[in-house]
Amino acid sequence: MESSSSSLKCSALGKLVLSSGLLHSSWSKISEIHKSPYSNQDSGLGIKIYREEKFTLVVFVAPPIFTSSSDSTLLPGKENENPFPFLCSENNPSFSLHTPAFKLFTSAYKSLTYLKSELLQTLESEKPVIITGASLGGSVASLYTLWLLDTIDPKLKRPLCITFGSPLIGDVSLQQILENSVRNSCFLHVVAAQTRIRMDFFKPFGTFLICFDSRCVCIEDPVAVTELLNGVHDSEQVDYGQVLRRLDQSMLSMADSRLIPEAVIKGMEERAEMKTLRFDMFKKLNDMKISMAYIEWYKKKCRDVKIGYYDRFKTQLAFPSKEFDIKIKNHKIELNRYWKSVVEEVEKKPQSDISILKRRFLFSGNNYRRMIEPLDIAEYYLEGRKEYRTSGRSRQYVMLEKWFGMEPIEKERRKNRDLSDLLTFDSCFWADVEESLIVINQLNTTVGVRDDAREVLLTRKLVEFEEYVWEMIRKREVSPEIFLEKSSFMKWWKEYKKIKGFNSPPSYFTEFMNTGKYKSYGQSQ
Amino acid sequence: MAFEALAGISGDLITTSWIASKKAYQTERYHKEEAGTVVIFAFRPSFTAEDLFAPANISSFGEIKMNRVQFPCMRKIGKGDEATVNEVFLRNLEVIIDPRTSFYASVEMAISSRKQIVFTGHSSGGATAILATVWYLEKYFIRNPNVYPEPRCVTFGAPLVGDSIFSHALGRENWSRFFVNFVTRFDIVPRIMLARKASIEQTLPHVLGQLDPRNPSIQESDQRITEFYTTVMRDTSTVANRAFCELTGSAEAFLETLSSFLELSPYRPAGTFVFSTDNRLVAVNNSDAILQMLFYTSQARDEQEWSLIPFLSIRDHHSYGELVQSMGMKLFNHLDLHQCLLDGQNSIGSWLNELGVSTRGRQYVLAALEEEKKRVENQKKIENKWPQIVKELSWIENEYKPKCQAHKNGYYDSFKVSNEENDFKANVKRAQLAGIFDEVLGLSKKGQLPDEFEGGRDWVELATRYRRLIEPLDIANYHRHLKNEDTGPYMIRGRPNRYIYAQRGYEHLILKPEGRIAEDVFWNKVNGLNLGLQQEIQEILKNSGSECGSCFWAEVEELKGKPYEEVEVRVKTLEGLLGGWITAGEVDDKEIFLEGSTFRKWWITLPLNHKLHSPLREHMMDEIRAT
Repeated sequence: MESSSSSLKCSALGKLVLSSGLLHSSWSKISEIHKSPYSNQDSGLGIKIYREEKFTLVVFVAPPIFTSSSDSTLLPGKENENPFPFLCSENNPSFSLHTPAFKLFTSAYKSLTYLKSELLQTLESEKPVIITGASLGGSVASLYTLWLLDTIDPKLKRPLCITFGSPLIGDVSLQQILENSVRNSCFLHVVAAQTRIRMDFFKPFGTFLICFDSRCVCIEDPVAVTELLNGVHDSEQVDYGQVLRRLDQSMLSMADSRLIPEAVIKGMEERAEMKTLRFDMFKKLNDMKISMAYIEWYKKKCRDVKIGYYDRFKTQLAFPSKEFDIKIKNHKIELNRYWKSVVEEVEKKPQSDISILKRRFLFSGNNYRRMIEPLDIAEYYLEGRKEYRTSGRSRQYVMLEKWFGMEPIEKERRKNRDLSDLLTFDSCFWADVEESLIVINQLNTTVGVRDDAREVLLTRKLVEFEEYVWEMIRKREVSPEIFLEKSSFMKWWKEYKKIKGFNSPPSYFTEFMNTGKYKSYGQSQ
Repeated sequence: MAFEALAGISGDLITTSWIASKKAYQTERYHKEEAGTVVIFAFRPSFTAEDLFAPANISSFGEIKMNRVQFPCMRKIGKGDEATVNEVFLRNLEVIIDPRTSFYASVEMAISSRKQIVFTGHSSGGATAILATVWYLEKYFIRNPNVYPEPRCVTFGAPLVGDSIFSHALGRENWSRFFVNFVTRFDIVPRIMLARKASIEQTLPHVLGQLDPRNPSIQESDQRITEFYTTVMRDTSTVANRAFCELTGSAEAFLETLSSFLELSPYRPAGTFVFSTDNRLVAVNNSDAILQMLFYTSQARDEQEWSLIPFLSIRDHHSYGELVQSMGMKLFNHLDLHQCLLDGQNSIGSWLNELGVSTRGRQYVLAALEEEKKRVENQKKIENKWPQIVKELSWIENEYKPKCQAHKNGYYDSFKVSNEENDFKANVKRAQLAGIFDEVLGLSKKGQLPDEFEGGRDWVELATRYRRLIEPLDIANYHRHLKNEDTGPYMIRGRPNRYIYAQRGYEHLILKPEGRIAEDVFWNKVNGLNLGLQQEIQEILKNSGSECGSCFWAEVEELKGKPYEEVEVRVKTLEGLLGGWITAGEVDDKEIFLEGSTFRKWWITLPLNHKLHSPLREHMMDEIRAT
C-alpha cells in the first residue's frame, strides 16, 4: 500500500485534472481535425481556433514524425537569432530546442504573430485560453505557449498548454530555466505509462499526467517523470481517446492500485524535502533589517566623532578594540551571505521574470549595496589590493546595481532635502578615493629623474576623479560624510590641493572646497 | 450518553427534532414545538429547483455574499471578506425572520422566557435551520452570551449552505459546536451543492420529485437518477481533490493555472457532521475531512453496489427516521485529531471502513486531519513567542518612553531623529516584532492557523498593545526616510498589513457584542462632529489617518505641510476624535502634548481663531495665552 503523502498528492492532482473535463474537450477537437478529410494532406502546420463558452481552444496540428529525430537547434541569447531571448537567465544564457518543432514554429512565424495578438485580446477579456496538440503538434503548441507567455501581463490568467504524447522540446538548460519560473505551471503533458519518450538529450518540463490503465497521476518532479517514462512503446502510437475513456470509467469506483514504484516516490520526497530546505528569501528579510539597523547606528556613531563609517571601519579592522566593531563585522558577513543567496536565486530565473521580484527586494537590495559595499572596499584596500572596481567587486553588488537600474522608477527628489542620512549613490565611490590616494602617493614618491609624461598621466587621473566627484556633488548624490574631518577623502583633498598648487586655474570643485562651501553641503535649504 | 457530551444535545432531543421536522412538511413555513425548557423550530423543506438555485442568480452555484451589517461576524476579520451563502436559502430566511411574522414573535417569546431554542429541519429545511441559527447567534446570543441560552441546530440530510469563510467564522466565534448535521451514507442531498447548476439542471426537477418524502415510490433502475448521481459525484470529486491539493500545498503554481479553467463550488461543510453506518455513528468537525468523506463514503465497494448506489442515494435521503430510531443502539465515535493521535489511526481506520471509505480514501481523510495538527502546531509556535513580544513591548513602555518623555519630546519624535542609543535599540526591537507579526500574518492569510486563533481575546489584546505602541515608530520611520515624499502618504502606500489586521481584530472584538461594524461607528462619530455634508466629508477623509487611533501621527505628518484652509475638515476631525482615542488608550496623551512634540509644534501654527474654539484648548492653554 502506498501511504506516503506525495503519492496521495500525485493522485489527487491526477483525479482533479481528469474530472476537470479539460482533457476531453481538448482531445475531442484534436481528433475532430485528425479525422477530417483535409488533414494530413499538407506537410505544414495547421492551426484551428475554437471559441467555446468557458474558454478558447487553440489546436495545433503537425504532420506525423517519421524518424524519431533527435536533432537539436542551439539558440544563443542574442535577439535576432532567437525568438525566445527573454527566457535566457544569467546562469543559462542559451538553450537548444527540438529541431522539427522549431522549424515548424519558425515556418509559420507570421501567422503565429497574428494569432498572438488575437489571443492576448481574448486573455484580456478574462477568458482563459487552452493551447493543445497531439504528438509533434503538441510540441509546437508548447513552443508557441512559451513564446506567448512572454507578452502576457502577470496579472492576467495564464494560458494552459495541453499536449498528448508529444516529443520533448528543450534541453537541460531550458529545463533549468523553467524550473525556476512560474511559466512551468502552464504545461500539462499527457503521456501513457509504459511508453518511451526520448530523454537522452531533451529533458521534461511542466507537469506530466501519466496514465496507467484505469488510473492516472500528476507529477511535476522531472526526475520522477524520467524514471516513469522509460517503457517500450512509442508514445506517438497511443490512442489517447481510448486512454481517456478507460480513465473515465473508473473515476467514481473504488479500485485502488499501486501506481508509482516505492523507489520513485522516495526519490521524489527527498527532492521535495531539499526544496523546502532551500533558501527562503522572504523569511529572512526582517532579520536583515535588524542587521541593517545595527550598521545604520554604527554609521551615525562614527559621524558623531567626525569620522565616516568607511574610515572608522578601516581603522578598526586594523586595530579592533571595541566589541561593537566586531559585531558590525559579523552583521556585514550575515548581510553579504543573505544577499549573495538572493542574487543566486534570482539569477536562475528567466530575465523577464526578474521584474516580478518584489519592489521591496530591489529597494532593500539597493540600500544594502550602498551601505555595505564601502565596508567591503575598506577591507579590500586594507589588504593592499588595487583596482577594486574592475577586479574586486562581489557579484551580488554588480547584479543588484544592474537590476535596480533596470527598474523604471524615476525618483523625484526634492531639491532642498536634508542629506545627512543619504547613502552615496555610487557604492564604489570609496574605491575611487583609494585609487586616487595611490596615484598621489606615486606622484609624491617620484625619485630620480623627473618623468614628465608619467606625471602628466597621473595628474590627469586625479583631474578625472575631481570631475567625477564634482558631478556627484552637483547632483547631490554623495553623502556629506565624505567631508568629515578625518575622512580619507579630505586627506586626498589636502594632498590634491598641494599638487595642483596655485598655478592651475580654479574649478567649481576647488572653489567649493576652498571657500568652505562644502561645510553646508547637504543641509536642508 | 457519550453522544450528548460530544454533540451537546441529547438523543431524545434529536428524536423530537426529527419528529418536528417531519411535521413541518405539512406547514407553510415552519412548525413549532415545545418540550419542557426547550422550544423547537422545524422548517419546511422544498423540493423544487428554484428553491435550490435562485433563478435570477447568474453564478453556477447560486451563491451570494452575506450582508455585513446584518451578519457582522460572518466574514474574515483581517482581510474583511464576507461569507458566501446560497441565495435562495438566505432569501427564505429573510422572509421568515421578518419582525411581522409569527416566527419572530415566537422566538422573542422563547427568549424572554430564557428557553433554549433548537432549530431543525430535514433536507432544505435544514439549510433554513442553519441560517436561522446564525441569525439567532448574531442578533441575540452575541449580545449577551451569559444571559441568552446557547442555541442548537440539528439538520437531517441538509444541503451545504455556506463557503469556507462561513465555516471559518463559525469556528472563530466558537459557534461550530452548536451545529449537528446528520448524513446517511449515500444521501445525495448533502452533496448536491457541490455540483454546477448547468451540469445537473436537466435531471434536477425529476430527482427532487423523487427526494420528496411525500413521494412514496422510487424506481430502482432510473437512468435519470444514475446520470444525476454520476454528475454530482464527478463535481464532488473535483471539489474534494482541488481542496486537498490546496490544503496540502502541492503544485501550487500549476494548481493556480488549472483553477482558472475550473468552475468550483464554493460550498463547504460547517459544524459537526454525523455519518451513520449500520451499527455506528461517526462524528467529525473538521471541515476538510468532512469534504473528503462526502466523496469517499459514497463510493461503491464493488460492481454490485455500484449499480445500486444511484438508487441508494435517493433512498438514504428518506432513511433519517430509521437513523433516529436506532441511534440508541449504535456505537458513537468522534473522529478527530485527538483520537488520531491517541490510537495511531487504527480504530479510525475501521470506522471509516464501515462507512465504505476505501483504503485510499481513508488516507485522504487522515491527511486532512493531519493538516489540522499542523495548524495547532503553528499556533503553539506563535504562543512560544509571546514572552518575547511582551518583553520587547515592556521595554518600549517602561524604559524607552519614559526616557524620551524626560527629554520633553516623546518617543515618536525621539525615534524620528534617532540620535540616541535607545532609538537604535527601539529600532532593532521594532524590526524583531515586525518579523514575528508578519509571520503570524502570513500564516493567517494562508489559513494555516486554527479558526479560533484570529478571534482569541488574548491574541487580539496583545496585537492591539503592539499596534498602539509600535505603529507610531513605523510612522516615524516612514517620515524619517521621507518616504511620504518618495512613495506617497503612509496611509496609502506605507501602512503594513500587520497593523490593519490588528486594528480589524480589535474593532471586531469590541463591537461584536453591539452587533455593529467599525465603518458605521467611525462615520457616526464623524457625522457627530457636524463638519458638513456626509458625502463631501467622506471624500475628504478617504485614506486619512483619522481612521485609526494608532495612525494619529501619520495624519499629523500629512496635515503639517499643508495650509490650514486646505485641510480644515481633516484637522477638525482629528481633534474631534482625539478625545475618544485618548480614553480608549489608542493615543497616549502624556506623549503628544509634550513641548517638543511634532504635534504640539504644528498645532501652535494653526490660526488663532481655530485654536480658541478647538476642543484641545485645555491642553494647550499656555500656547493660547502666549499668543
